[in-house]
Amino acid sequence: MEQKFIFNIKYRGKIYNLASDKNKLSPKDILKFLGLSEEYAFVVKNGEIVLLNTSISPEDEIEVINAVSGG
Amino acid sequence: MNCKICKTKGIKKNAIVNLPSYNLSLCKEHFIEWFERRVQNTIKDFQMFTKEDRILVAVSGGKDSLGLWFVLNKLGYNADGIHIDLGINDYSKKSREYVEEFAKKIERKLYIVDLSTEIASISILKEKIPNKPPCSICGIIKRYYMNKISKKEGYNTLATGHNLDDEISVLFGNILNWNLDYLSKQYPILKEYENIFVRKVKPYCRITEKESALYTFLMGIKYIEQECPLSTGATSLKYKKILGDIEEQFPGTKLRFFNNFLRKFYPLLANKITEENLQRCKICNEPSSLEICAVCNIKMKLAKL
Repeated sequence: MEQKFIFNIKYRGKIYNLASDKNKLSPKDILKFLGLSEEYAFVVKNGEIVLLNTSISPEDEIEVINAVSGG
Repeated sequence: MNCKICKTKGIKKNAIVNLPSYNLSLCKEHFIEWFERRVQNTIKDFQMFTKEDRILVAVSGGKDSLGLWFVLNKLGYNADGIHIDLGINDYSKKSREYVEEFAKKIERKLYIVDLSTEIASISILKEKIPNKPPCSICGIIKRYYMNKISKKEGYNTLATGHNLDDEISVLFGNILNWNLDYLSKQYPILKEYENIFVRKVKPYCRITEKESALYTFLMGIKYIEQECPLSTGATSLKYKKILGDIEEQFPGTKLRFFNNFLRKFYPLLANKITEENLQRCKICNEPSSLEICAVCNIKMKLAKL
């Protein structure tokens, strides 16, 4: 059986598990998984904001901030 | 990708933010510097206020208003806060907690208006007045209390955290409907009017929603990330999505759309602004276009008067 890599992503108070065949993902992959646009959202890796070309491993602490708000 | 400003100084430092509309990549330090300068320039360009003015910031508990309150004080302005507790269950409870905690942290005065005791919570108003969208009721009530408290407490300027995305989504909607009356009032500063309206300003009008979130995050300010549960499906959110898609394809469009509206179209409408229908509400004496203002009308519907 093919090995899956699990990425735990914190987003708006909830944890989402992304199972991937790859052991490295980019913030772009993470935003795509959550269905968010890079125009409004960004990724925080181990407490630091990162650009879209950064490499993310399953052991990294990942948080996604979506800037869109209403009301 | 390296920070462009650091590069000009011969330093190699990783950028954390990419701003395609400005063709700029910046490190944390230079993004903060860029952001604060942009807010300062907006205040100056539109002659919003000076360090002598007494400013009241409308703080919801979200990233824009808390970030704005913080940056205004950091830039040396005299800014206190006002929060309207809308009574929308857990969302309002959390929002209020964030605002109160932040006011203590920056040691500034905070005024709270609790809608549940003043009129009724937005959740109840939504049920009692089904023919009006909750966002519309909320807007009417917020504007009423913010203006009223500003005057009562001696503030001459009311600052809101409306950002570029907020402004252009409203602009887009107003243009789609050719709503000239609303367009004639969409400007980053609305001057005070006699003793009726305080000056209203939007120092974030050239800051995108993402730039605002980045700054608030970098400043370590805790804010409510959730959208208002009653705004789900709001037209303005759909317009933001459409405009965001265009921006991704053509960076700089959002800013150009807004700046060119202000430069080329607004002047054609500006002279049309009149306050001729304005009078004082017979019940509360606040400004109104009718004999009885919208808020007193709501109170009457709920038999609170």
